[in-house]
Amino acid sequence: MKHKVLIIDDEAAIRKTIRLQLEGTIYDVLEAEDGEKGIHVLDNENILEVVVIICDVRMPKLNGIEAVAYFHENYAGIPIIVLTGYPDVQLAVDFMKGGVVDYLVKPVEKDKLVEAVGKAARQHTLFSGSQQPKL
Amino acid sequence: MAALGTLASGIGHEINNPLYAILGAAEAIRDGNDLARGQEHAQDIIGYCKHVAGIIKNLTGYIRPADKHGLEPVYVNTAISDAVLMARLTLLSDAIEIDQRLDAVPAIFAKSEDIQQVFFNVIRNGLQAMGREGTLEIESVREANRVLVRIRDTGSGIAPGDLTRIYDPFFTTKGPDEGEGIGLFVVQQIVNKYDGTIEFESEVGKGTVCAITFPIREPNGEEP
Ligand SMILES: Nc1ncnc2c1ncn2[C@@H]1O[C@H](COP(=O)(O)OP(=O)(O)OP(=O)(O)O)[C@@H](O)[C@H]1O
Ligand SMILES: [Mg+2]
Repeated sequence: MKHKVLIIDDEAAIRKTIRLQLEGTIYDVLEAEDGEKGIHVLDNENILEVVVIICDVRMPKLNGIEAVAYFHENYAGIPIIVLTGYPDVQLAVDFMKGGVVDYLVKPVEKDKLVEAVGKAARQHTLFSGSQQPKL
Repeated sequence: MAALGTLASGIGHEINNPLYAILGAAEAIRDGNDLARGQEHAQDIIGYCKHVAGIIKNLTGYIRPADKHGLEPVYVNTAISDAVLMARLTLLSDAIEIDQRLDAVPAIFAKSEDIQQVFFNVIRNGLQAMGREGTLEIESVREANRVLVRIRDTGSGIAPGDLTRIYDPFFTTKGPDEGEGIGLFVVQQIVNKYDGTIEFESEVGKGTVCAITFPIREPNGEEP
């Protein structure tokens, strides 16, 4: 079974960077440039295979806050990591209360990202013990 | 101007993105052993560094308070014509008409680059909003002790909800290659620096009018 990570960020450079950082891990990367496109990607994937969503906060169209709310509503099992360019304590608290599993501030080092993705993926509610992805 | 939080968070977003990309590319060079790929990553890093430098260059210079030295009489009409010349260079289409109706107005006291920058940024927005077809009208008149410049375009217009955000640093509805969202932030900084005023009126689908005024002052800073 595949382990896919969906990256939603409007900047191509960021999507490329995360793709680079996840290279050589068990994760395959899916990309979307805004929340709306992210939803479209999920609608066309076997969502059992999407183990984590990494979502930027500031994006055109559906922003991070709206996108996270939508994913919770419609894809409740998939853990979400929020990625932001600017630390905002209140926003972080709101996100964590809203069920986001992690809140990372750019720039994020590779080891830290891989660890965060691994940790998040293990919270995927659709995994039973034996299927949990290992790094 | 926008709250400081907005500026800090805008800069944070705008600079942390390329920093992240630089970090990722450097890690890839560190951890990889394919020379050609390493060179590609290095080339990316150079590009991101230039991008950050460009952002900082755009922001500094305008955030500084006005120093009353080094101000010179600036003829608004000359600044407008120069700005139009520069803006024309970016035009892709010749179905765009630029109409200038400039009254003989007195000079204001400022730095000419600043005033030119104001008109250039506003004119460019108008041209970008019109795309391939439309008319840009620029008029200058004296109103009491101020010079008033109106720049009117027949472009896409600004959605009512966006009107309060257009001055926010990094607020843009344009694609990454078309706009950084810095233009009107800079305009507002400069206008404030010279005790000017700026207002926008807009209707979606019809167009936008931007009205800018600057006080007419004597060289010693007194009003005439
Ligand atoms: N004349 C106009 N017509 C329609 N929309 C406008 C106009 N002027 C400004 N706007 C809106 O305001 C936003 C902010 O303008 P601003 O000049 O600050 O940034 P930008 O044009 O997007 O990028 P930059 O000027 O940094 O290249 C624009 O993206 C656009 O949505
Ligand atoms: Mg602009």
